[in-house]
Amino acid sequence: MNQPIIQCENLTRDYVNGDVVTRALRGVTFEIQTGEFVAIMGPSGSGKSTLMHVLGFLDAFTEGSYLFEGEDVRGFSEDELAKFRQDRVGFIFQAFNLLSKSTVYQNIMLPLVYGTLSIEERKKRTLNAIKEVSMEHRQNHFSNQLSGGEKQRVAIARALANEPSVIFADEPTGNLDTKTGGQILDLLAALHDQGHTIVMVTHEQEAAEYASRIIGMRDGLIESDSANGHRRRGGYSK
Amino acid sequence: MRYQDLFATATESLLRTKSRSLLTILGIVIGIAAVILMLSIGQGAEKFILSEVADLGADLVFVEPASGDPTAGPPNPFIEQTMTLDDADEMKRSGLFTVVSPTLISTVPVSFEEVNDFLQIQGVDSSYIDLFPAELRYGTYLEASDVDSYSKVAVLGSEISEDFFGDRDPVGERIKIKSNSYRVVGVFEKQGSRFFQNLDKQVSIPVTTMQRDLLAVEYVNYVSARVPAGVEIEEVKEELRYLMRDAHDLDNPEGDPALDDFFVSSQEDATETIGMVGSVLTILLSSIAAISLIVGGIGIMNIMLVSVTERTREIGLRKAVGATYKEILQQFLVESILLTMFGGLIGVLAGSVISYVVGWVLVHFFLSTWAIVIPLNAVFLGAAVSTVVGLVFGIYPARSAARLNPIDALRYE
Repeated sequence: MNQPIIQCENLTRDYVNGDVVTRALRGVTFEIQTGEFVAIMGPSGSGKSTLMHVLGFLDAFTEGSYLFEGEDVRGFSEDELAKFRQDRVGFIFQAFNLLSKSTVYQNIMLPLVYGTLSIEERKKRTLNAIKEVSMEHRQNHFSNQLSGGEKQRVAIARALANEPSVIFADEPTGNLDTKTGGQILDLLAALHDQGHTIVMVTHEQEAAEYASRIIGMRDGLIESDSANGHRRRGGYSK
Repeated sequence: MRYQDLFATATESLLRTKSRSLLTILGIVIGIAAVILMLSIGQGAEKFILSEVADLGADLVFVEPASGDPTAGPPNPFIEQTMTLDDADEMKRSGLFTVVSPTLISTVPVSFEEVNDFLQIQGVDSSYIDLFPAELRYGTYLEASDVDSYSKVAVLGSEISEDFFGDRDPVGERIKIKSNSYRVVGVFEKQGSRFFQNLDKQVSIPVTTMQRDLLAVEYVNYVSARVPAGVEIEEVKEELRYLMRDAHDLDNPEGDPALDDFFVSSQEDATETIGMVGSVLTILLSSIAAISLIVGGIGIMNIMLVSVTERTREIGLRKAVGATYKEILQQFLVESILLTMFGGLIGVLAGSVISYVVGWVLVHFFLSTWAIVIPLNAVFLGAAVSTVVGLVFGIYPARSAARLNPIDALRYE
């Protein structure tokens, strides 16, 4: 069996605010294999967002170990974490977080600007990513001219542009209506079918059903972890 | 991150808020323009003053009266009365100089028929014209015999002659200086100004006549003398001091000039002093202008801080997709430097144009010998300073941007 892409053991994350210590993660252990589509579910305050931030190198963990593609990221400096975010992962946010006065093309190229790729390679990857989300017809529009669903597709393309090992999606349908939310989930499922590894945080059961595996969290711990045999395709409704 | 991307990103961000960017740099524009204008005026003034002094002649020395009191202020040749015609004779006899000429100056009423004026009278001897050569339009200069015989004769500046007599030759006419009548013996050609005196509005009369009949005094205001060619002027000045101490019976074994009741100077001294005054003036004026640069810089800092706050989510996103601390820092620094450099450029242009216009107005309406100076060093200084202002006042906002935590920044509403 291949090496897991993500290996966590006893991950904890404490937030210290003055004298008050809040344990957002209380010892999380799991692995994610290449090609999985994992949904992390749980109510507010369950630690699912913290877990995603730690896994996506946006946040540090307090105790435990985290291997990403076999590399131990404990003790990484800020710059090393930034480098990992740049090369290895892509993010999709609930609020899209596009630069509103930049074009679709510029938005998608943004992660590549911080890399060392040649201009031609950048252009190629950007155009590929645009194609994957079928936004070719809009590539020179400003992102504030787009609908919500289109914005999230651009955000997905941006996450794909650096050809990441894992795509992290944080409530990707949270700001969308049912129909466009379903389209976004279909798009993520299609990317999964092409072999992309996706980790999605959601609190919606129906959105989670698109995944191949559902991890349930509560109070900073994993409560359930099961394969999802009946992956939903289409028919999403809130 | 490539430098092209850095500049492209920064330019894009600035262009997104065009009118704000322009308003922000106004402070820098005004600051730099003010520095250049002030330096232009300062250097122009120095040049103007130096050109007045340069006319004195490098081989001349001047002896003025002084108080002999080291605690008193600077010597004032128009108050102290220690220099006399005997001192001038002493200097002539010493053989240190080729020409020696005493001068007494006063401003008194002068009239011809119905025309009255207050004019500067210069009491001189016949050798004065050898020290300060001038052409005569009509008649002759004062003769040695005029001086010896206390004659009431006068040589007029060209402007006075025109005011009193129009275009005609006034030689032989009689003008009234105070209550006495003087015969005009000559008129100068136009001479312009020297040491801030309008020579064309001066009346020259024998120094002896002026002492006895006009002012009833014994002293002169200064004695000018020419050092022979090839002689070290500083040595002559030192010998002159010994000579004068001797003549005035001064007990000054240390040779401390502050104890002397006279003061020896040359054009070089004046040039040095004026150069120093000019530098102080320039420093003073440009420090005032520099304050506006600091104010401009604070404006930049303020706007950049606002920009960082407004773009918190953007910064969070950039960090989430892999921007490092250094890359965010650089981006915001480049933004503020681009702002101030652009402001500096406009300021340099505006300052140069305004300096030229001010100089032109001075030349055409006030001081025809004023020199228009566009200080090149100030132009480069302006460009450099504006860049530094951007760097210095950009660091704080850039750091606060670069230090943002990506998670908090992305959640920022």
